[in-house]
Amino acid sequence: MRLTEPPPQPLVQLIDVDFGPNVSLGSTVGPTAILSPDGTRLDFVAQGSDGIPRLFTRRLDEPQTSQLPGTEEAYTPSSPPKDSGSHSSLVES
Amino acid sequence: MKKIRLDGGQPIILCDAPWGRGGSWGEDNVIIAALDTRAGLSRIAADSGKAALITERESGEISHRWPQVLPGGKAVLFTANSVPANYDEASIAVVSLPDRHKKVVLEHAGLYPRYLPSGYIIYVTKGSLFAVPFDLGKLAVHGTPKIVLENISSDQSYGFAQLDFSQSGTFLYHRGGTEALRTIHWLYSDGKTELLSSEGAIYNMPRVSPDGGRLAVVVADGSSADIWVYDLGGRGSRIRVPGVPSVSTNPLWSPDGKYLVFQSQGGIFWTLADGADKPRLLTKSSRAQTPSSFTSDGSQLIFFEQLPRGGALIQKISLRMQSGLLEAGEPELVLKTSTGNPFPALSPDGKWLAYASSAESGNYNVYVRAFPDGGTQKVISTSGGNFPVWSPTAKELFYRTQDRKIMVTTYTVKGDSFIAEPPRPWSEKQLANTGLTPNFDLDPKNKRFAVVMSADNPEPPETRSHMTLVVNFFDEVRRRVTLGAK
Repeated sequence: MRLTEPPPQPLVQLIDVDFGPNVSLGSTVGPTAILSPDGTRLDFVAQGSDGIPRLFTRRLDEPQTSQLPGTEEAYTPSSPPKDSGSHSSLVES
Repeated sequence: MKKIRLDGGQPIILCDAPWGRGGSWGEDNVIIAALDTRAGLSRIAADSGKAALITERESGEISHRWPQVLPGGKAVLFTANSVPANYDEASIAVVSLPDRHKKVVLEHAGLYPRYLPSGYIIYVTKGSLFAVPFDLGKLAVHGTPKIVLENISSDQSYGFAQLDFSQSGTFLYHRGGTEALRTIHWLYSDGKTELLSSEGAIYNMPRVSPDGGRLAVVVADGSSADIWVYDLGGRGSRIRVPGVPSVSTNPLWSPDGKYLVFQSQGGIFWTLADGADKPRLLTKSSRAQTPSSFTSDGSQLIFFEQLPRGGALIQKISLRMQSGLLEAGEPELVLKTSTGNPFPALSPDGKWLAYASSAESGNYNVYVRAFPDGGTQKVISTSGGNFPVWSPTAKELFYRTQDRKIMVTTYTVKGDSFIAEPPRPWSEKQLANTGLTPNFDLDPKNKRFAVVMSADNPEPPETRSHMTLVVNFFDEVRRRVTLGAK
């Protein structure tokens, strides 16, 4: 018989964002990745083999990622507070 | 600062952001952002890009950064700090947008505060995530902060944490710690190092004395920062420069090695290097003034003063020692820069001024001008550079790259022309991440640098493609804060 119930554990899920051996998440300054307000999409900064950080986006339920054109040297991405269907994102670069 | 549609198109430029430190998009299509490292927060119209300052740093405050527009769009949560390159115990503040009233809600708490829709503020200190209930109406915390998660990757130099959350309660973070402790070494051009201080601490801004026998360095501890002077000779002793209140940074040796000038709240101070007397005010200002270079005879001091809306004034003052007390004349403008961290350095012959600017390329690069100014500047670094240091014995100018390595250029002077050869790496060794604060200085007597290095192992590359997702995070925070309160 157990005298006390163990505290509930959080449900943790590891997301593996795999870009291959020559790409890594991250920028020098600021958070690397942000979630969309509805939690369905991930926008993030990643460096390719050329070492230049760029902005990428992917849906959490899909493995494909899309690189956003013209976002070289981007950092500290931020989303509008509500998804409106016309997703836009703030990027400092 | 730019914005881009995720469903296609090119980025649209909104406004200048020389050294952005975070932006938050409010519900009324207004963005609140830290556009520069040494300025207050700005309000930017997301359609037009028109920007206006909404906070001004108080005396002693270094930076307002990483803002978050709170629900309702009437107030903004942000990080406010007074210690350079150490945000682990920064203050958490809010500003009310209608009246621009600013107040600190948690003093010396941690970095990167975020308000959760469930009514809590979370923030990180030393890799631990804390949560505390927050009253959105009163803009005040109530209760005691509790740890809710460990091993959150954070950057104490820049003051951010690798975390985000959705409105639905999903939490995203990068596991890891902070690059916390640093050590001081001699660094030689072949990459060899020699430990100067085995005790790990949060060091930055090392300055080697003119005779090479002592080292002044800033040691940050929580919300304070003091200057220590290490005897590099046989005794290996150290003394702490007698304190002025709050934070002392940016030490600079007088050319005769008898005294130090440094930055603190209220202006530039000076003190005898042996710690025999209390520091005394040299220049008085409510703005941050950073001593940066002496003329070789010690008769003039070059410093820069950061402006409230970004940028800096490089100035000079004449100095005179009168009855054992150092006196300063009136400041004279040398150069106005559009960026806040020029760190000017005067050449050994006093005819050239090297400094950093990001006005031309967006990245900091090192430039040289005649001193007094002849109106033209010579670019030295082309792929990023800061913190110029002149060799006192050779025609060499050193600087630090963006990825924290030391470069060198050899130069010649022909008439009024400064001719610099293409810069080359002096060492491949990467220095500690101290943000936009200096982490190296040349030993004037030897070909080596005193450098600040990370005492921790760097993050393994394979961890940089993983992040951790927690669902039902808001419930978990509530549970852990409630459990911790019982």
